[in-house]
Amino acid sequence: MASLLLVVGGNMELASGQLRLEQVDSQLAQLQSTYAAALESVAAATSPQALAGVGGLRTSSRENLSIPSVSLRHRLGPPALSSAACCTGR
Amino acid sequence: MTRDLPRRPAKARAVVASRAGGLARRRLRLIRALVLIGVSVLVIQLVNLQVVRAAHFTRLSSGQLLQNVTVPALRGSIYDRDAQILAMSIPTTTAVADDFLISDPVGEAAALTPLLGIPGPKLVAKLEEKNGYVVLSSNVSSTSTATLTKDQLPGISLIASSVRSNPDGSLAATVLGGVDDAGLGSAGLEYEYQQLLAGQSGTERVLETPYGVSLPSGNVVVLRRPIAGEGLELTLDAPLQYVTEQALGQELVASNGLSGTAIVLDSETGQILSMASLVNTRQHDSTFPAPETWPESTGIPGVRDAMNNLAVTQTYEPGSVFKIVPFSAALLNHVITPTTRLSVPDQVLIDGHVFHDAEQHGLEDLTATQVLEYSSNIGTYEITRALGESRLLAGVARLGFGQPTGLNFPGESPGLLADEQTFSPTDIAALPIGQVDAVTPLQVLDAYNSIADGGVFVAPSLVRATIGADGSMTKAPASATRRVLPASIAQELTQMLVRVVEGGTGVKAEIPGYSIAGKTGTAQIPYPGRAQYVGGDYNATFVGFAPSQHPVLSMIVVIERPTPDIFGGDIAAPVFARVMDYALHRYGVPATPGMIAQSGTSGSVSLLQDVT
Repeated sequence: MASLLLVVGGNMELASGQLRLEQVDSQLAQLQSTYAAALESVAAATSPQALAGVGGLRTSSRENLSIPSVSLRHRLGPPALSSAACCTGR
Repeated sequence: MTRDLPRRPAKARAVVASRAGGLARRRLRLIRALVLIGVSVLVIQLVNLQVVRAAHFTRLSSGQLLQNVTVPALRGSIYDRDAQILAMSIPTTTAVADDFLISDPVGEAAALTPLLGIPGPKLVAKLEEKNGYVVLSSNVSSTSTATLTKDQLPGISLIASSVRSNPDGSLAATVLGGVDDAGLGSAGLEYEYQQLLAGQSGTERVLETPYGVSLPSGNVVVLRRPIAGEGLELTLDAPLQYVTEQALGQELVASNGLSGTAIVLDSETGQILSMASLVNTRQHDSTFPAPETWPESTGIPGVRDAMNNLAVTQTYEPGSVFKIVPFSAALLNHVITPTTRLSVPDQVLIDGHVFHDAEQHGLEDLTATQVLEYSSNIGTYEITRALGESRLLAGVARLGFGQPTGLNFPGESPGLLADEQTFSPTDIAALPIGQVDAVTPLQVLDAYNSIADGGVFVAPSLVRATIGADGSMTKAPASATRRVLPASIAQELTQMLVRVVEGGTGVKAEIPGYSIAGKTGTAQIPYPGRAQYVGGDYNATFVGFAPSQHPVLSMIVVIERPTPDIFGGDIAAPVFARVMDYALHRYGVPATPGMIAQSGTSGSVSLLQDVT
């Protein structure tokens, strides 16, 4: 009888664990979806079309003098992030 | 009235009772036996089902309810050269209804409408289809997914899926291509790199109805986890791509052109920095599908991305830009030098056909450089006549025409060219000026880039690296190269092409501060299936590179059927100037010495050193 109870209890615990795992899996999938959607909106906001919409398309020779140049051989480095607060409350 | 019956004697009554008791006992025994037999049969059958044939029935049951479900891997992203996302997959959820299990379609539709964003009547119709598997939405938001998971509406299942998104809208759409409803690459790089981008799907064993609806159980067995697809880092530069598309699109509208192509290439590496294929739908005719069925707009009214990557899939007669072939061959074979003098009439008669220059003129005394500078057809013919057919055809092959470029883009055409078997008497005049041949804009650009690169052909490329799911980056192998001309010949040709821009047909390609080498082309368009040209229709081309002394960038612009202006120098060259100007400054390419003071672009000299 004790063995039977042990088996039943074990099975219940296993089923419960599987359900928890499924929930965590589901939460993970939702987080991944949210993250990807956020990534997409950042990419859309930083797209050339969006930036040109804000700043206007600059392709005349005089305007081109002031555009920041990038390397043709090396990738852009990661953005420089500062741990310091960007501003104070005062 | 009653009648008294005679009573039986007591002994007789006892015999009758004894007989009745025996019958009852026999009946009872019979019933017991029948029950025993029935129970025995049941027990035997039970043992048969539960013990003897248990494995068989377990298999049958599993076959009906335990399903192996394919779990698709998340498709890899596509980035530009600086990690700007051009295409990505977003994990999402697909809501599916088993409408046989739905007893209250109206009630469920009311509950689903705010979650799925589908109007109630439309949902009710879907929930009443009675086919057991109705896809309600393939892009359920994460919050709606959470609510639906919690609510457990009868007959509604949620399946993990994904949607493909291009955050930059239509940018580089013809290069990227797209995916179909099943998530498979259907065109462009999405098609070419399908296997790499798709990854490997996984497999899960779950309890499901035969209709594919999951049963409530936590007993999911992961047989194989999906492996996410690899990403692609392209050689494209999104800002330059945007500028290229905008400049090309605006010129398409201004020149009333039908379609346009532009490519910018890194001269040394062969990496394609921008590649645009646009169509002016306001000029479309019945040979094209209705404009509303075309891909998303570029933001310029009437201008949309072409259905195909015209730069590599569409061939055309290039016209005078092809003159680089006879000139390179003639220089290589010492038939001419840049200063060789030629007497050039304005027309010649060959095998009954009149060939003429674009403008009438008397007998001109021109140098070979001037023949190229003014794009004289007859001068080019005189040079080719001295060169001969076989050396001309060798020159065609040497610069890569008639062969794949090495890009391997889906649908890429190697072109169509005359050979020694098909060479007709008039081809000695027609071929050198870019007629009777069909080439792609990319092939023309590659030929000029070979001159920019000192006589070395560099195969063009669109992919710079692959990015594993763990973020590891694997660089693509460097493009194949081959020497097609001696450096000295390339240098002579460059100087001749500089003259085209400084004082010839390509002056509108000039960029303040930079020396430009290039060539114009205005080519007639052949009638399909006929040995004649379409009256009044031309392709306008400009192809060149900059700075001429130390070329960094090469570019071609082709505009189909501009009107009323038709010349490559008037239509395509300004687009070249506008885009190349932006690109030279974007990459910090130093201005040409001696041209700095007059243009005032000295500020750009110190921007970068790695591109010189």
